[in-house]
Amino acid sequence: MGDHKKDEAAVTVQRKAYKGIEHAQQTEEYTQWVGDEFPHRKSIPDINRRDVLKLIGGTLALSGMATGCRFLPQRKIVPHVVQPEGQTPDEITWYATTTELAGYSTGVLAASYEGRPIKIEGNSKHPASLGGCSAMAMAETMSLYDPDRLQSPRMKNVPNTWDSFFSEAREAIRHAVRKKSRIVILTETSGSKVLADQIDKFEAAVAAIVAEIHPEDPPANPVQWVQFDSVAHDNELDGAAQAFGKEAHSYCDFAKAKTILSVDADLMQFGAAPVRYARDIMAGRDAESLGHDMNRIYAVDAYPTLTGAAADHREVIKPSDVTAFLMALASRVGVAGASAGRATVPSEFMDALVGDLTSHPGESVVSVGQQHSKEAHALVHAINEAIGAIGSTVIVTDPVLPNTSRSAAGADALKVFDGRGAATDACIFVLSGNPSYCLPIGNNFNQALTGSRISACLTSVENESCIWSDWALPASHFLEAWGDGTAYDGTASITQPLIEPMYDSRSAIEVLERLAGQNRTGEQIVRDYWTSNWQAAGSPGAEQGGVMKSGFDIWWSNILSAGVVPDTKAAEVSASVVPGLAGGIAVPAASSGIDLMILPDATVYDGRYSNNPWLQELPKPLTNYTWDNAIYVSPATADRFNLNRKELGGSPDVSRHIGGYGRPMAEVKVGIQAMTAPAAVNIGQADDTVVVHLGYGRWAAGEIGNENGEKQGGGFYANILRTATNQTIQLEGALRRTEGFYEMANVQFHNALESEVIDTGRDIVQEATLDEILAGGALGAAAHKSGHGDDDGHGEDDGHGGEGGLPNLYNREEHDQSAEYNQWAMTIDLNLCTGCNACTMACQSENNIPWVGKEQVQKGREMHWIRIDRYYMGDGDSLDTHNPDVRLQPVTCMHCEQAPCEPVCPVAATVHSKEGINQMVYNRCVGTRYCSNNCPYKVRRFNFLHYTLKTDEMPVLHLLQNPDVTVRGRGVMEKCTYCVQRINRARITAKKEGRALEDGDVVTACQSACPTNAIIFGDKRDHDNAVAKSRASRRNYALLDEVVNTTPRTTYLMKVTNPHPDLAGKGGVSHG
Amino acid sequence: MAQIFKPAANTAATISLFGAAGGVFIAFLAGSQLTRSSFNTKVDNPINQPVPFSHQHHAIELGIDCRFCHSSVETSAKASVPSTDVCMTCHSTVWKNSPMLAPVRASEETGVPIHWNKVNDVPDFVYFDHSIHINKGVSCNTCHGKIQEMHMTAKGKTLHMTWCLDCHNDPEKYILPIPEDEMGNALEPREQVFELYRKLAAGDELTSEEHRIAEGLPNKAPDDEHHQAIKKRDIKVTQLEDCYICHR
Repeated sequence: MGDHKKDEAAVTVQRKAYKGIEHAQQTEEYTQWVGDEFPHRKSIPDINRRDVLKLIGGTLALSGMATGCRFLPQRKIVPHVVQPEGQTPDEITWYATTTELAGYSTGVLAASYEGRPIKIEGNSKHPASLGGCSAMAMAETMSLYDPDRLQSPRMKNVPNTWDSFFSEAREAIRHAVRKKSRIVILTETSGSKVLADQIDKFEAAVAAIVAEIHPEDPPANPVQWVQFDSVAHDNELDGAAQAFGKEAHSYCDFAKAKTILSVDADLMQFGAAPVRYARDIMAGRDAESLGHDMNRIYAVDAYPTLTGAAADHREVIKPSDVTAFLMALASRVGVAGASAGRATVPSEFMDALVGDLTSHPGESVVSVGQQHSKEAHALVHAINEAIGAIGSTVIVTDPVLPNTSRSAAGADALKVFDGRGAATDACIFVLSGNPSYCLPIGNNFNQALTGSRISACLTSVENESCIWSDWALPASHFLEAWGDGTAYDGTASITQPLIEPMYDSRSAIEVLERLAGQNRTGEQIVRDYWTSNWQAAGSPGAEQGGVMKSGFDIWWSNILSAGVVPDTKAAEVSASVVPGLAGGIAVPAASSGIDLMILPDATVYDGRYSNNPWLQELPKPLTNYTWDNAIYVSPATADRFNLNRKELGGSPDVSRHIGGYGRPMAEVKVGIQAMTAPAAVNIGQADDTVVVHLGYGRWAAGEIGNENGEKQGGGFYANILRTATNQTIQLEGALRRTEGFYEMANVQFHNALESEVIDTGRDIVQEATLDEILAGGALGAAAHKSGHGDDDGHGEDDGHGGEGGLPNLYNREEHDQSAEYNQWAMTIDLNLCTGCNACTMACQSENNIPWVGKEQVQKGREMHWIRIDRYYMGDGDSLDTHNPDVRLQPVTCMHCEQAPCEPVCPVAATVHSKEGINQMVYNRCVGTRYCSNNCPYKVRRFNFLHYTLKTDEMPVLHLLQNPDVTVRGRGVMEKCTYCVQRINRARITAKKEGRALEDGDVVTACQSACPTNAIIFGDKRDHDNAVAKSRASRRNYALLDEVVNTTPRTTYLMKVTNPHPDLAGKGGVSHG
Repeated sequence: MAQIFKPAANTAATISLFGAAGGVFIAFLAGSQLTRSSFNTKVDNPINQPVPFSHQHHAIELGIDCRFCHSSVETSAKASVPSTDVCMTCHSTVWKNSPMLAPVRASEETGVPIHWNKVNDVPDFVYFDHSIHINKGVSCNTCHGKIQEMHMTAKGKTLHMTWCLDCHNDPEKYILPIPEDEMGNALEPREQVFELYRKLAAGDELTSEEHRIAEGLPNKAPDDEHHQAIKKRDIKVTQLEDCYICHR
């Protein structure tokens, strides 16, 4: 495409945003999706004109009979027998509690409406949240009300009771002691100190039995606590131990970092504190207030990560080159014993990176992904020490989790099951996790489960492990149970329940209590633990609310309401890297084969959320696939292995692919283990590298999560590629194409803005460099138009020009200031957005948005009110598919002041409110979909089938619904309402208090969830309001406004990049 | 050949032609009236309840404040129906063996709540908030009819959308001037709502406007005083027509 470029012209080639390779190549599929309102029309059966008329006539005749008139059923009012104290009907009360993932906890607030939890948000007092929340945590309410939950204990698939389980378990424990066998407690890594304490107590109880049965020559305690995680911290822990010569925990303080290097680290999505890290990293990118102190992010990725998408400079290397890259970097920053070795990244990139890292001692930080080897982690510690990060941007503490045993050791312990005593005499209690699904291949754990004296699996929804166990025990959800947790920095917090267990379920600590022969409730267990571990013991009591309370009671109610136990942050320890570390690390030779990387899934994680339809349908960040996993390869690798759609054998059947997203099947093989799955092309991934995700291909997950094939998704089993010693990265894999295709559900081209037709694409995602910000003047498209207006040849003189365009006779701004009502507006800061999808999930949970299933997603009928558009930035007509810049843009209803949807509605179901909201009145809507057709932003969603039918039919799903929002039925259009239920609540409260609404009184669900505060909402009339200030920013721009003149209330703030002066653009030399 | 039709057939034809047209019209009218009739709307049709509770007796004869039972009416969207223990605060000593109250005692003994039949119901897409109406001084009777005369509770108004809009368009007709106490201090508008029942219970004389409100009827011809009442209460009338005020 070089012929388009004029070599002699010193003009900047205009950047253009591409939705994907298909966009750049203008494939048939892409043009269909963008150009056709019903791209899936081939799936509609052929029908002639006469039949259409017959159907219309019949529908007209019958419509009145079927739905027109009916008597409302007599409904009941059921008050309490005794009104619970402090509970007012229809009032929402927020409780602080704690969720845990991968051993580390995040504080959340859970909303209780008349006693049932309906929504989860972040807890601003908790260090791992600071008010933000991850999509997974917010989807927990769906898990709580999962209709597939176990409702009573089951023995060999027959309902049974807890009492008979405990009596059988106690008998089996005595048997195991008598036979000197083992009693295995299997959990995932957990930060719960109470759980560790309960296991200690259980051990003591068993020790008493040992002493009783073997009074002379007692054998070693048979209780063995094994920790196994599918997504393990082993490499981090081992790397820290190797680097510091002792067990240590480390975390980053990105708030202080001016230069950040992320080496394949998905810091803002996985790990100990993704929400907090996202906040700190993005807060350092506030160009306007920080100026030259704005941070600069370098990423060296094998796989596109959110950190890489946010980076100023990104390089792509194979996973097998990570150690070599780190070793080279170590030698450049002066780590003793490190040798430069082979080059893995361009030297310009390395020079710039080293310059930045070393010129800000104590203000730089390097981080590596948890999937990489312990040597890589150890090297990173050495580099961090050399650049002065340790003690400043990297905090080292003693281990914060109560048990730091390794998952690999756990897997080994479970593998060799005949070490002590016969396996048939052993007891196995699986208290969390799903080892039968997650354990690497070559493990005979399932045989141990069936062959042991007793095996039991505590789980919320039936899983693979409880199929193999004698007993399937229903676990309480964290919103039903007491517990505690530890955050990434050691801060402890309490998990308090909002609701009594809905079924006959128990938590792990309650099960251990009974196994140890005690009988306290979960609340007593947690209270007792903290009574004895209370720091301020002996502080005096006081009178509160007319009741004398002890010092502990006051402290206890304070920590429950705050959600954080004060003064529990782990103390920093001095740590220095052992001398000669780098010299002792061998750098593997360059690999010419296929590297395989096995990662947790961005939505279902390791499979624990498989049965959660919200998370299944949540588009995976950057790739935008839903409902399935795939074998991800780079475009070049796809070409090399013939994994492209366009190279089908025979004539391609277009109709088959238009609705869905057909991908050729491929097989990836390591040793003798092979996984067959569709191959998906992922721009920005390393060549000759295959990435697969865990959490799919489950066979006992429940209705939603099971492997259901092409129609329903459920994906493919990736654990088959793991071995006990090598769970994340494997070298020398084999990749080949196999027979057939598989329809994926990808939302990337759904609801596409027609950038090809309406503009050059530059206007959609606008950006500026830090230098441009500091230089002052117009930014982005405005600057482009004034500066290079003649160059782009796309027709500037179409009457829509900015300041130079037609004069506006109506001074909207002046009108708004004098308006009598609040004038709501929203800004979305593209410079802070990480593309994590938390807003989409928050909106789904808040607004009763139904899930539609894989088949409907393929037809473009997903219902999310806020979507994240992903763009790859190309130069002019060419898109570099190796390592392009990625731009992410959340798009939701813009609440246009001149909304194109409103005049076309024949029944006035969408009209403007006095507060500037584009109202959607469900009860008026007749479903013509004209509004959606006329919406330039494609943000309106139509309920084609009765997607809420399940909600109607299953009583437990009634509880999930937000009572403040209508549950919409079939044939009704819906879209973002600016969370009008929250506005109304706040307005009514303010009116009752006789005051005006203040800034911050209304927080939309997406705004509250956003980990980086990228979304600001408020009344734009008052110039002191955050949203008004944001709108006044030079970076503020309205999407497509110049083209369609809609004057949207939701506007965007441009992204700001902070490129190193020596590197031309991100990825620098890669596209010369 | 004799004529088939006699001259009278002309009349018959005319009548049947007009009759056919009129019949359709009458059927349409009947249908529309039927939907508005209390047969459909259930206005003034008492519904059987597990306990025959009389608002007239409790609120007027005994003078119990509305808020004793409907405790959250000033603070929450839902007025709330009292829990069993609220009934039992009195009925553990008063009428404690009455067979009419057997379901209440059974509820307290068994812990199973009383299942009342809902009298005033709106569709699920309508979000009515009691507290804001009370706080702006809208009387209970404006929506619930002459509750002070109900021995058996019945729906007082149709609760149709057009009926809601009567007040949302012209709230001044339903709102009384801000009252003053003996010292001349302005009362809270919400106190004014309950003051009406105190007067009714005490047998105090009502002003003609208060009388209309107590009947559940609007006052005619709004005067300046009424508009002043709207202003003082900071009721933004034009906004009351926004769809999102009631639907979301």
